[in-house]
Amino acid sequence: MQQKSNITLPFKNPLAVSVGRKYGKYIVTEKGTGRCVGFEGELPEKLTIGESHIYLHLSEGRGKLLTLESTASKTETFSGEWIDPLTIKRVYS
Amino acid sequence: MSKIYSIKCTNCSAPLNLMGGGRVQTVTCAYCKSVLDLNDNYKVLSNFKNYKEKNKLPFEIGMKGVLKTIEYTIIGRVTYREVEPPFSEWSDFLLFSPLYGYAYLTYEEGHLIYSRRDRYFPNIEWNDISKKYLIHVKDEKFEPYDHYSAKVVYAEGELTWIAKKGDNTSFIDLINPPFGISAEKSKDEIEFYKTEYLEASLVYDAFNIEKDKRIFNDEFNPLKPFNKPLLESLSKISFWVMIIVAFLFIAVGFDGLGTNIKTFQADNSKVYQEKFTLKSNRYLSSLKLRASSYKTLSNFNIQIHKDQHLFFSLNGKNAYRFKEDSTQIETKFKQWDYDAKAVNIYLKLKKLGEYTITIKPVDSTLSSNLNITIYEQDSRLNYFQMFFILLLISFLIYKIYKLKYSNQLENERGINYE
Repeated sequence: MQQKSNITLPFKNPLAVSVGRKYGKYIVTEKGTGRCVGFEGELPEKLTIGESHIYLHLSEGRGKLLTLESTASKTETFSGEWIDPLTIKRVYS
Repeated sequence: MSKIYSIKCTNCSAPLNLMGGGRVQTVTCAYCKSVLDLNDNYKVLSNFKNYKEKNKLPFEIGMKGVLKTIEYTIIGRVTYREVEPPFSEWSDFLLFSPLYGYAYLTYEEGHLIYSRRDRYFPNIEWNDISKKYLIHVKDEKFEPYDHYSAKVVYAEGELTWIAKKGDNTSFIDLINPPFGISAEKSKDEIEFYKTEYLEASLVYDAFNIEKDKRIFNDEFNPLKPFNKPLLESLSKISFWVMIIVAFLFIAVGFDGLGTNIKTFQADNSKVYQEKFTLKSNRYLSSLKLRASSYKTLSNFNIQIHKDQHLFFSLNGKNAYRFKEDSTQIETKFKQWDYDAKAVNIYLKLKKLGEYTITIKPVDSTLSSNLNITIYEQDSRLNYFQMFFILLLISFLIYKIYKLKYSNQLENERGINYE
């Protein structure tokens, strides 16, 4: 579960980072390109099918995660915690 | 209930079933083995048609089973081969649960390991993981054990990532049997999986695998815990029994050997009569006879009197104990071996005080010497000897097995510490 954050990362070019290396307190665990292939329901921003962005997944360790999404016009970071599906419990039935 | 979509292979038009939920990226056609990209109109990405299976595997795509209380469907498979000797090959079966997502069941020559994605690994750089002695993940400690690289040699069914033939992945295995962490690094991603070694029979039962398709492996696997329950229990019992008995013996100053109250020698020249005084009737009293040969041992008759009442008699062949208030035989002792040169006789003497022992030669012409030693508070520790020996043997066997396991664990280790 992540939310937008204002964390400043210790690198400028997301493409130049290496998977498995540590930058500040974050380890890069994944980098790639994402392309919007579909959406549904209510969303907080306008999306376009086919639009792509560079993404980085970073880990602070012990379940704390950070995601960076970068397009030509903007870069956003999201931070949060990983939730193990097995720990999700039914609150009411 | 998840929907099942029916589509056709864009290469051979064979029907394809999709069972694997929203994260599936590729499906491999079961007929022409083309890998199709679900995010790009089922475009053919690669092909695995030339792969030859070394051994038939017990699991197939579409099988359902309950593992760790979760109902899974096997939706995909990827087979890796190590890039360096011994070129081990294993297959990861991708499991899907609509509620709990994805997991893997790894099959390697009868060993079965269940794994799920885990993100609690501390943020240690990839190159430093192998340098650590122990790594704490949540409340558990894992020991970096092996590192190696492997290539994808085959893929089948649905996968949540694009597997191409020859794709290289680096692995670091951390162990805390039966659990482990599998750290996996490809070009663009690092993933950590919490692993657990499972008993093959339980997994086969869970997936209802036919008996003749079940393959078992009793050999070593670093995640397979050392398991000798009977020997382990015996060993633990042995250890504590030995400790407690030793402690008790020390605490009460008891060595079981008794107190020597009389030692003397007799020979064939005359009748010997000696007195001894019994001060304690705790445990047993014992009479230990030693001769130079079995013939000389048999050349004496021995009697013990208390207040002129005969209560014990021994001749060359037999020994008797008489009742305290009559001349009736109370006990006939077991005959000793024909060729015995030494005899120990244990008696429960209730009355304290003075006793008289008489040693009479049977044949006064046969040169014979006999050493007689009398003990009080003697304990027949030999009753315990067999018990102790059995406990000790089970303890040692367990330790030998454990040592063998530890040696194998060290021999197979791929990460060594200086």
